[in-house]
This record gives sequence, structure tokens and C-alpha cells, in this order.
Amino acid sequence: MYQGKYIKLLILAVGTASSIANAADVRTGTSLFKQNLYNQAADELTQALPGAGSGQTMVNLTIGMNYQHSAKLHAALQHQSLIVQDEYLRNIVKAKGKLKSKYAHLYYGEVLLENGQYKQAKKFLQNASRIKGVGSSYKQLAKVNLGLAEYLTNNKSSAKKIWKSIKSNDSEVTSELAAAYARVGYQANIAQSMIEKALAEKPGSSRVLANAVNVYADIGAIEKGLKVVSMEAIDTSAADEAFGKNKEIKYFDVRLMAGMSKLYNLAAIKSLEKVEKDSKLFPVATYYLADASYLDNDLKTAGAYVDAYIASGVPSFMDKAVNLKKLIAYRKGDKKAFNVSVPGSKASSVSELIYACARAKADCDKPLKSAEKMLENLQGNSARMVSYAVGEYYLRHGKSDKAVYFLEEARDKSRKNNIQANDPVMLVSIAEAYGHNKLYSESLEIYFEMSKEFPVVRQIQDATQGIYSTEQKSAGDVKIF
Amino acid sequence: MKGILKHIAMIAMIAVTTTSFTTAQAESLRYGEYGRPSTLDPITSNDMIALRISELIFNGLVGINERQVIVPELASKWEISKDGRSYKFFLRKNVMWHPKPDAEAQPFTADDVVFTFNIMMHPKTITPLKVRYEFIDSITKIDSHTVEFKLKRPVLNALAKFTFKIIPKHGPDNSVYLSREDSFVKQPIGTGPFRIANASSGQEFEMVANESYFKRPPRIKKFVAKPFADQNIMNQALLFNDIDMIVLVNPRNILELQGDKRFVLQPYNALSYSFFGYNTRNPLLTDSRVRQAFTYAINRKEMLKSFFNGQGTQISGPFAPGSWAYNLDVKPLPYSPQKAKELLMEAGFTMGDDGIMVKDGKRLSLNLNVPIAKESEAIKRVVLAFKNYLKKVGAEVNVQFQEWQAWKDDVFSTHNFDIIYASWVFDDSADISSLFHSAEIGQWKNNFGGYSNSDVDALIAESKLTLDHEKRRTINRRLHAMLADEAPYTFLWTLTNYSAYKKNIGRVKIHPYKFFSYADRWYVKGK
Repeated sequence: MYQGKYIKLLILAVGTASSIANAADVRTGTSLFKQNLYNQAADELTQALPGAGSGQTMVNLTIGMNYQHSAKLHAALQHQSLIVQDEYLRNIVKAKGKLKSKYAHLYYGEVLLENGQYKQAKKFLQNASRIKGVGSSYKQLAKVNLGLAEYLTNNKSSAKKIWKSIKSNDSEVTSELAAAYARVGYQANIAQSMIEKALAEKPGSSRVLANAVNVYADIGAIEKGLKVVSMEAIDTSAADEAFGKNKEIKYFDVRLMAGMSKLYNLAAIKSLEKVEKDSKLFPVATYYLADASYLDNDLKTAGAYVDAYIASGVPSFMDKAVNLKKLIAYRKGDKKAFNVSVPGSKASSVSELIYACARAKADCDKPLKSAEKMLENLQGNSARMVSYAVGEYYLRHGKSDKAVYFLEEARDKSRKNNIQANDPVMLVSIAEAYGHNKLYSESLEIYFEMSKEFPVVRQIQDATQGIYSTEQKSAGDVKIF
Repeated sequence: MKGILKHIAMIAMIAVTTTSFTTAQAESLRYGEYGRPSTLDPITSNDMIALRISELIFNGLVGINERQVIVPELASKWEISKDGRSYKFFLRKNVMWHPKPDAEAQPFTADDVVFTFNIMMHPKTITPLKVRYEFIDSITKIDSHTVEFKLKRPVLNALAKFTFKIIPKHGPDNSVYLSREDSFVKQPIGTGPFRIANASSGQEFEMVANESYFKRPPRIKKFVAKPFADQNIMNQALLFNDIDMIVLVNPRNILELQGDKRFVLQPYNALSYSFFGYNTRNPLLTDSRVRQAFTYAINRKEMLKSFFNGQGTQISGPFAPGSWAYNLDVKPLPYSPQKAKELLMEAGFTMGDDGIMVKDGKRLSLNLNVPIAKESEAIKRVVLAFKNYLKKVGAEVNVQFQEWQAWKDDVFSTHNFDIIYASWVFDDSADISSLFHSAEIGQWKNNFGGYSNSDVDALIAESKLTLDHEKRRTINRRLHAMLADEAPYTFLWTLTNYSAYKKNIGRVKIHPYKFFSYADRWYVKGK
């Protein structure tokens, strides 16, 4: 949620720190981070790091925070991509006769696999592995994923048998197999060499790149992974299927952003851990480490870090930390973790509680009512902060109409799609809420702007356009204004 | 100084009006508009102001609800044949037309539907709608409350096309075709939730509740459209309680309204964009390199930033970026005066002594027509910047501001212009066929620039014939790329669309294109 105050202090600290040799570069990077331009900020700060002298700890903290925000954003984007790819491809696979797609079964199977719908995934992947009129590589890709579905449903021997049967010189198939191995920890020792061979052979293949990002994230090769993320073909389609002269469907690798999120989160943890020796800055780092560990599903470590932060007594992230602790407890099975009284009238305390409830999808009716009541008298940033939390709560509880209302209240309307004026994670939530309300053009406008900094959203744009073109029901009217 | 005095006088006037606020006004909704439409009927009108009013006065056979579901309107149900070529509509029996002055209200019947279709498609009726309904082969009255449409072929989203508004057989003076001279187009009657109370007197335009509305009487009893030529004054009118709603907030006022807790700012994503459109009948503008040169010559990014506070998105082609049809691979041409000059030279121009390019003895001097309804400060700056940018590459532009109707006559009727500045607004279908197909060149048709390209025509024809959504999408992507290259327009930007209204107006749902589609359910709280 809103972290502006701390980041402002950080910029001030960086700007005035005479010990930092290249303070101007660091200030630029920090300012880019504040503007939510995470990719540019990472480049700037990483370049400035070696020359930062005694300010390296502070720069590492900023890099860590920047990567962690980026990880959260890409996790939100991955969530959104799965929603729209599912809806879009579900229609494409239904087509029959001349309109029948040869590729859609593989891509829909991959979406189902990522959504944890293994039984359904196997059905589509099996279809894909037998489909006529496609090259053998396509079938091998389907088999790799079929093996993965078997492995993830505890049919490990069946998975290994399928994977052993795969014989292909195609780099995309090699990369797919490497990603599957790395993901489940099978033959992990050869996954890296396999992906590096594939990368060397086909650096322009977005499937190879997506697999490389995932392999490097899974084996913890952060620097190599970050290098792949910045490669040109990363946002392009994995396959284009032509139907005669004037019809083409683009398919994308739906696992790309999951890999990116994991990779950024690892990069965040690595940078934040370097702050450990600085007693002044480390409490802030521990909060971020807690959040990063939570995102990584490492609840134990997350719990330890959050306790350390609370014990430090540093106030900057106290509301967040207290609620993250509740969230961790809830995820560990304590369903009463959010049965708490309304935390006074402080907007940040209320909003952080509601936001944590939203993340947990827990029922927090009483605090929610308080927050809505509180909004009647709030103005400015406090109102936006609480509105965001309430909107997020409604969105995660399936009430998209109300979600739109409150998220809109949180949005800076004077620059409504601008990621520099609005938290990009919030914009993704707004786009999702509008999508649920079938107001796809609102979502598309958000992603159109976001694609300028994060081109990988192209896969969301493409699928949303596809859904919109099918769902819209209009007469074909146009008027002059 | 003169401007400031005018502003103060207007605020004082608004303040005086505010004090005379009465209980009767409490049940009314006064909204700010950008002008008065020249025609109010749904057939001859082609502007957004009239469209919004039509939505309050008329109904279609079917409607589209907020969840994009087709719902009954004047037809209570329908049957579609298996081959998708026959649509039979069963009409409601309890619907009455608004009464004509000094006359009894008459019932709505199948004759009205047949009449509407026939008058709309009559060769002498001037309407942009014909192209949309060419797929209908015939209409037959089965009985007094049943009609059947036969289609030439099945089409995508056919049912949605029956949202066209029905007008009464006893409405127009001329029952064969509809002209802009017919009294009906100025004072129409419909079946909708509001009827016209006063269309001619003064500046305001009043509609009162149709208490016999077949759904339920609307909760708001009066709608008043109040035209403003100046966007800043419209904004002041909202702040000083002279109006309750602005349909489209000037981007520059968004920040001010956002901070005011009395108002709700609601986005609605009308798929719209602004452009400079070229008259390709002018020999100076026939060559696409000249039109492309003009696009290279202007710094659109800077104009958007300077004149609209960056509250919009630069575009590369004939669709809005929020549309499903936008080709994401086509990027806007960069600002490059050098490239612009090169293209003009390639097209056969040479630099004249006075700094204006010349070809075959003709100076590259062009008239730019801008409607006065667009005479906001921002638009003035845009057109003046355009003039200056073009001067730098050797083209002279003479800006002419015109009254809205005179501008429409010049652009759509006599085609007496070289360049225009305007905006198109689309519904969700993103249908550009009437804008760029050569069959749409002619009086009061949307291809005002006379643009003709057989490849574009072929693609548009194919998109109309296909029943495959993905194919239509691909075709539109191709059209986007072709039209970006051909540059019949310099495509500029999409601006942020927000409506602003008082917090005491409840249940406000805004249709992204038609705006007032759900206004019969709005209400004023606490009254």
C-alpha cells in the first residue's frame, strides 16, 4: 500500500548524504523508484551501487525495496494474466471445423496448469500432444507440460516416464523441459546447462526466454535471470497461428510473469540482506524481508522477520507489520487472526488492517464498516489510502461494483492511468475490477499506459482485447464531437 | 482583463440564479452540454449532444444493460431462426407515444417499427445509419404487435443492431423520407422516460418525466440540458450550483473537482479520439506522403502535455487505445520536422521564396476549419500549435473558427474545407467503416474527406461479412496499420473522460457511449 512518506525520507537522506560519492545518480534512481518506474530505477541504482562508497547500504536497501515492489506488481500481473488468458482461451478452444485452433489446447492447458486445475489441464495437454497437422515440437511441448501436471499431482513416476520419452533437438522443447525440471527440483543439476544451451540457440524465442526466467528464478541465479528479463523478445508472443490470409491468433507464455515476480523477490531479499550490518537501516529492511518472504510463501521466515521488526519499535511500517503478522497467522491456519477490534481512528491503521484482510480474503465486516464510516470525514491522501483498502477488500470478496467505486476514490484522477501518480498494483486491481464489470476499455487504457514501462503486460492486453471483441454488444455507431 | 471581467460577471450571474433554487428544481437534473444540437431525432443527427438527448426520449426494440446483456425494450421477446437470417420481435402492448402538442397520446404498434426502418433506409433520407443496416433485406408486419426482419446474411452481433431507436409513424410531416427541414427533427416525440417540454425557447433545453413510461415513471422529474460555449464557465456553473452535472469534464478541471467532496467524478470510457482530418479531394492533399509529413511535423506528445496536462494518450491509428481493435504493434510516428520536409520534397514540393512549399505553381496553403463549440483554450492552443508546426516545414495553415452548424455544413455537406480538427466517439463495436469506406463518400456521410483506397474497402467488406470475432479483430489490426500509413487523418490522442455530478444524485450508472441509457433509474437523494 502507500509507502510514500518513508520513500520521501529516503530520498532526502540520499540527497543529503555527503558520504555517497555519486549521490546524484543514486538520487535519480531513488526518484525513479518513487515514481514506480521500477525497471528504470533498478538499472540506475544497480549501476550507481559500486561507486556509492559508504552509502552502499542505503542504496542496497533502496534496490531491495524497488525489487520487492516490482515483485508484488508482477505477482498481481500474473494473477490478472491468468484470469484473462483463462477466459480468452476457453472460447478459442471451443471453436470447431475450419475455425478450430491447433495451438490453443497447449496454451489453455498451460493456463489450467498454472491455475491448479490439474485434471482439466491434463485433458487439454493430452489433446495437444495428439493433435494432427502440427510439428512434432508442439506435441513435445505438450508432453513436457503433461509430465509436469502428473508430477504436481504426485504421479512422479508417470511424469518421469513422459519426460524420458521426449526426444527433440528443438531449443524450445529443451527449455520447456529445463523449466519443468527446475520447478519440481528433478534433475535440477542439468536444468541450468539445458536452458543455457537453449538460450544460446534461440535468444529470440519468447518461450525460451520465459523458461529461462523461471529456471533462473527456481535455481536462484538472480543475475542471469535479470539479464534475460531485459532481453528484447521477452514481451512477444510465443506462437502466432494463421488461419488463411486475414486471421491470426497470438499465444503468450502465461508463466513469464510468475517467474519475473519470483526473480525480483529473490533479488529483493538478496539486496535487503546486505543491510543487516547497519543497525539504523536494518529494521526497515526486516519489514521488507518479511513481506518478501511472505510473497515467497516462506511463512516461517516471514514470521521471524516481522517479529524482529515489531521488536525494533521503529514506527515507519508498524501498522503494516502488525497486520502482516496477522496475515501470516491466518495463512498458518489461525482463522481468528483478524477477529480484532477496530484499531482507533488512525487512517493508516484502519486501512492496513482492511488491506491485510483483503490479501487474506478474510471476513472483516466490523472494521470494514468503520472504514466506510471514517471515509465520510476523510480527505486527501488519508481518504485515498482507506478507499484503496476498502476497494481491494471488495474486489477480493467478489464485489466488483463496490470495488470500482472505492478504487476510483483512491485513484489520482488527474492522471488516472499514470503509474507515476498511482500505485501500479492498485491500477492492476482497478483494471481487474473493471474487467469483472465487463468495462474492458477501462482495463485496456490502464494497460496501454503501463506497457510503456512494463512491456510484458502485452499478454494481458492481447487477451483482454480478445475477450472484449467477443463480449461487446454494440450496434456499430459513431458520432462526431 | 476583458476575459476576467466576463468571468466575474458570469460567476455573479450564477450566484444570483442559485439563490432562486426552488423545491421544483430539487427533482430536476440540470446538466452542462457543449452546445445545442441542430436535430434531435435519432435518424438525422450525427453528434454526441443529440445522441445523449435521444437516449432520454426514445427506445429501441432491444437495449443493452450494464453487463453487456441484451434486454427487452420495445420488444418484450424475440425469436431468431436457426440460420440466423430471420429475427422476429414481439412488441409490448402497453406502450404509448409521448403526446404531440394539443393531441392525445397514441399507442405504439408494429406500424411504427416498419415505418422507422423504411424511412431510415429511404434514399432521400440523409443519415449515417444506412450503412449499418444494409444487411437487412426486408421487414414485415406480422400483426399489430409482431414484426419480422429478414437478413441478407447472418452477421455478428445482429441482435445488438436492433437497438436503433423507433420513431412514430405519425411523427414526421413527410411520411416517405426524413429531412433536416421536417419539424419532427426539432421537436420529436418518442416512447422514452422523458419527453420534450421546451425545445425552442431560450438557451436551455427541457425534458420532463413521462409518467406513463412503460418500464416505470422516472424518479427525476425534469432533465435540463444547458449549453455552454466555454468549458471553464461550465465548470464554474457546477461549482456554484447552477448545474448538477457535467457530461464531460475539461481535463484541466479534474484536479479541482477531485478535491471537492460535494462532487463525484466518474470515468466512462467513451472510445474517442481527436484528429486533424484531410480533404483528399484537394490536389495538394492527395499524396499520402504530404499527409504523413504533417503527422511527422507536429509534436503530439508535447501538445498533449502542454495543453491537456498530459491527461490523455497519444495514438497511432483509427481506434482508441481502450478499444479491442487497436493494433498494439503500430507505434505513433515520432516528431521529426526533418522527415516531414523530406517527405514533402519526395512528393514533388520545393521550398518557395516566402518559406512556403510549392508544387506545380501552387502554394501549400490550406484552410483549417474548427467548430466554435470546440473553442476552448486548449483547442485554440492545439490548432495554433498545428499552424506553427506546419509553418516550420513549409505549409501555411489558415485557421477558421465556425459556428457548429456552419462547420457541419462545410464538412459534411459542401466539403468546403482542407483540414478539420474534430473528434470521433465510437460505441464498443469500434466500427470505422463509415469513416473510411469509399461508399461512404457523399453528402452528410462520415467519409467527409473523400478518402478512397480499394485495399481498405476490401478489408472493411470482409470484416462485415465474417462471423468470426478473431478474424474481425485481425482485419481491424490490419486496417489500423494501413490507415496509420495512409494518414487520411493525423491521429492525435484520446483524452480522459470524466463526468462530474453532485453527490446527492443517486444510482448513477453511465453508459460509456450513450451516457443516459440508465438515467430513468437515477434519483435525487433526500428529496
